[in-house]
Amino acid sequence: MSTLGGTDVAELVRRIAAGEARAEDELVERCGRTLRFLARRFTRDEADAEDLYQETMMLAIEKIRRHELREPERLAGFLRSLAKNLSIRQYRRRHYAAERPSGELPDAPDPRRPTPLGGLLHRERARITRLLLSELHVRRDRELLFRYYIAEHSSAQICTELDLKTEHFYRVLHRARQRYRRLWEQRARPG
Amino acid sequence: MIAMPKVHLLEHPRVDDEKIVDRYLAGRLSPEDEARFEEHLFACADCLEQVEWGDALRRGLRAVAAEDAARTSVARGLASLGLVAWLRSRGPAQRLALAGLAVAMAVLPAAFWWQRAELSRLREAPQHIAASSGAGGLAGPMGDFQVISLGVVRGASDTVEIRPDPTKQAALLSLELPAVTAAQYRVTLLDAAGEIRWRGDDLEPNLYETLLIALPSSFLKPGSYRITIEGRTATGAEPAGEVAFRVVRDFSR
Repeated sequence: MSTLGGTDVAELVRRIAAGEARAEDELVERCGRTLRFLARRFTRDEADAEDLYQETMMLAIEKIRRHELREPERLAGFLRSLAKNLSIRQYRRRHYAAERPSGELPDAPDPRRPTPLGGLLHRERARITRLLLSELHVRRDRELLFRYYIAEHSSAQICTELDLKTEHFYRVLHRARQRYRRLWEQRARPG
Repeated sequence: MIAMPKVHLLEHPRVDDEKIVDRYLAGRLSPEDEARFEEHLFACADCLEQVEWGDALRRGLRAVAAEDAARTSVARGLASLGLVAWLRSRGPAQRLALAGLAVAMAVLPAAFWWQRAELSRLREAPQHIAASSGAGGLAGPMGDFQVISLGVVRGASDTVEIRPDPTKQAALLSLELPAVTAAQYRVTLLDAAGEIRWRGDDLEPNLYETLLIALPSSFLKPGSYRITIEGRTATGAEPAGEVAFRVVRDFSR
């Protein structure tokens, strides 16, 4: 997997600023996956995340071409901040449209509701997760995953209630996740 | 020119030592560390793979929790919120047109009245809420909810303080059973005066031995409440635990 690790980031920025098309492709190749992940994290909706990703990448290239990135070596921070700010703007724009007390912007979606694609993926995700959880034979794994990721219990509270030693907590959590992941790789991975 | 905040990429050993991946996925990093770690993801394929996987797992668990809650809850109230929210989102011109239609067609105001009555029933009339238990269903997927965990092992004297987030669509009350002793449970929510605010029959624990109840965020007004849980048996019902909690308005939101 390509990332910015080991890349001369300042040189990459300089090449984009000079208008080199291959450098732009390289930016997409090296930063696209992280940016897509962050977009999903910031928006919590697949369709919104794709919009945010496209908008961030396009604006980033425009800004670099216009020499607006003052510290080229800080490209990662620049992309992350840009995506974060655009996600906030995207949310406000949709929220404003939904709440707007006039007929100028009809049929604006409620920003708290998932898009049809998001809804479909949500149902499919639930189906696969339910299938895998039912096959996870270690009961403590299920409890641990639920308490940590859903109920948001503290590690101390989970240790007390599941009779775990604090120093072992993250190892046990890691193992539970790995067992779940193995099941996913066996049963749910496409192809 | 864009002024960038002065943060640096986290070095990998620190990421491992401090279990930053797990803390990041659970949203437990400070905003500064979160920003630093997200920058680190642009340079570290290992961490990126871990967070992608962990995030997918977390979203899957949340999707299951939301579905479970929809099956065992007053989710009908959430579904009914859909029409009211839609009407609220219309502009004045459209609202006027709808009002005209309403005069012309007696059906529409009747439907609207029914929706309002349904909401009012859920929010204000305990005796009706109690009668409305049973299988409900969400109008569609719901991703914007707050999970409030209540351990049933606690005695009624050990009151938990909870702060519902009014910006969320719904709150999921997660009731962890001390032990599963029955296939189905009756859950009763009582207010400080002992009045029944909601009752659900035949609720089944999920894979985590937890009962989930979804409530519209506005359902729980500040005050003291108690939840009693009874296991359904062939001969009737047996007490399975209870939990007392106090709802406090969160002024920080």
